[in-house]
Amino acid sequence: MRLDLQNIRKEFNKTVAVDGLNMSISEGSIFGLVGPNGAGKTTTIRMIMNILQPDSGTILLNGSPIYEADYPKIGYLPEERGLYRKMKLLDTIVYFGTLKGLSKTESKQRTEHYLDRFDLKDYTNRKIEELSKGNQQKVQFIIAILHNPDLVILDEPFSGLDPVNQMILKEIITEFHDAGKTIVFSTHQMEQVEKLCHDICMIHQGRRVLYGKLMEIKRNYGTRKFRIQYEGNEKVINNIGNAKWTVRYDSISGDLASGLEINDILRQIISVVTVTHVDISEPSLEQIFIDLVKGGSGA
Amino acid sequence: MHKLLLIAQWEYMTRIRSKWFIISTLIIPLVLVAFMFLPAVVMQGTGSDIRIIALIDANGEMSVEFETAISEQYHLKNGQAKYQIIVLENKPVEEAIAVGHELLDSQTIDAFVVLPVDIMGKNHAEYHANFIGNYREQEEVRAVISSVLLNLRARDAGLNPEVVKQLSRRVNLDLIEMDGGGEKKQGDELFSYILPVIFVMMLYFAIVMSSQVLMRSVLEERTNRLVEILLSSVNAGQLMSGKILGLGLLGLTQLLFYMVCGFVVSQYRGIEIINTAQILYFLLYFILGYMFFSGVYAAIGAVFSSEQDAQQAVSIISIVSIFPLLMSSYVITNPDSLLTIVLSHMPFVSPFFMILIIGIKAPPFWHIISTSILLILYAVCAMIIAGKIFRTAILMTGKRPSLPEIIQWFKSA
Repeated sequence: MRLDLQNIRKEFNKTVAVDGLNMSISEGSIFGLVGPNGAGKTTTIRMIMNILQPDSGTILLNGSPIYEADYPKIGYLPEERGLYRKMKLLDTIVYFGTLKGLSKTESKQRTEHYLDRFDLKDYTNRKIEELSKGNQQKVQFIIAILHNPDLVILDEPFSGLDPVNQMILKEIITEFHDAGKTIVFSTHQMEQVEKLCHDICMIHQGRRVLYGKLMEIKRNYGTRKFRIQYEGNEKVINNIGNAKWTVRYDSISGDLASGLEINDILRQIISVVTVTHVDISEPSLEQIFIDLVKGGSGA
Repeated sequence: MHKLLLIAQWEYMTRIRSKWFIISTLIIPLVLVAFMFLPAVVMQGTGSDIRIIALIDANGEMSVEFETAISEQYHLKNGQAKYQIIVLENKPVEEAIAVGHELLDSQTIDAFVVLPVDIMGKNHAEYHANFIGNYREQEEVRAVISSVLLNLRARDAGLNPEVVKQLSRRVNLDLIEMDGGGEKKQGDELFSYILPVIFVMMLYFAIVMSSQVLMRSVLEERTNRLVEILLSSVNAGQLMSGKILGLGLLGLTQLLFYMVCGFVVSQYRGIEIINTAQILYFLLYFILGYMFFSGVYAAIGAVFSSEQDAQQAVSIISIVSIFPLLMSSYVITNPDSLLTIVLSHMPFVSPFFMILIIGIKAPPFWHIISTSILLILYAVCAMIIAGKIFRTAILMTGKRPSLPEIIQWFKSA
């Protein structure tokens, strides 16, 4: 499913939460909506989910506005987690499945499947309030994906989960991706996005600051860093390159400015020292973000 | 429609199994049954113990007659005389009273009665006991003293005490209530007063309790943000209607249970407590009343973000709607008065006033029709307003909205 947001704006009591946001999420992609706390991610998602109405702009699903008939095709994990505390696990998940249009039997079968997968089988007939917070979060994730939606929207899905459960979550997200489904996930943990997403939209104070393919963003905005280790006389090295580079007795490191390739540096030093190790590090999304915010307004 | 029913089913099934519902449903008939049977049990229960009463007769003229009369008139179940009388003949009377108090303290006697010197003129006597809650005993002692006094006075006046007794017999008032068809039926004084009040309480609990459950349910989903998941599956209208339907059925279940209890009690007491027409009226006023109240409570649940705030708002409504109960003695004696009829058309209280009237007599058909039409009108208004508030407020987070904001939503919805 393709999702388009066109010039979305939302204000709360004269505070602008989302300001002229544009983005397109293509079918089958894993899309990351990133930004610091309070950037407007959850507000944007709530507008996609029809929970809030944008003050202006349009949201289109496969080219047309989202109607109730589309609900069964969308799965949603809200950021704020709540469940019927007094209800039994199985009953609750089955109920939400039927609300998404599943038959009772089917909903039950799928619930049992996922409870097994998330290692919650022993809790099937327990009350939700008996579950730990992490386990409750797994229950909510199951509710979001039980009806096998074509578009899955996950707001901070990993927060509060241990590494094992994060793994299971990622596995399922990958399965959904392999089945051609569109996944949007929102987080302030940028390293999660780097591991999972192909496309991202980074927002800050309600505005889009980065948008596009992750690889291209890194290429365009970030500064790659290099580090060359060697054996030999560092005094010779001191004469080359940039004043900002750090030269030590066994290594040289610094930013790889645009236009300059690692080979250029290597060519210069390889005649005087013996290179033992070369390392180029991609810029992290976090670093790009920090640079952008420090550097003033975004793209 | 399908989803609406799913929500209704979920609400109904999850609440009906809750301990809270079962307890609250059972406790009300229990209280009512206790209310109806306990006085009767207390009145009839003569107990198996003989009561020992000391008698201080200042003039010494009445003790023999008192003793004879009380032991002839009152008996225990096994046929023994209920009262055993000890006459304290100490002089003066003050000393006799002191002895009486000692006997009371040592629990040798249950009570003592003082017939003062001027009893003939001032017409009063004293009853001393550690607990003076035994109305039945006091009533019996009073009756015996009265009859003894009557005999003495008759003799003084030169009349034959037997003739006077015949002449001054107390009238037995048989209570016969007329129903609509002009047929006579045996009434029961206690019942014709208490029954309408019980009717109001039954309807009140069924309507207000289920509306409260509705409010709490809305509040819960709103505060834990479950509503976000729900509204990504159904629309706000379906959510609200499903809840109202499911919890309405819950109230109906409660009401039907009360009616079954009413029937059982009827059978047991052999008195008609509730008839078919009244059951139909109950259903009519429950449905119409609940439609109105549920709308109001759903809106309150959607607006307030904490249970305490919501309860405060609701307590005002609860007080207003309990008003018919406070007015019950007036309505029972004046079911046809203009005031009663006007009050029976007012929002919030109309269903309760009507059921109060129905508990007393079958109201004229036009009265049923006029109140029904108005109640439908109130319900429709409540639903429209509640629907608009619900749609906007249910998703709000953070602070409680101000009244101008609520009005703003109402205009924009």
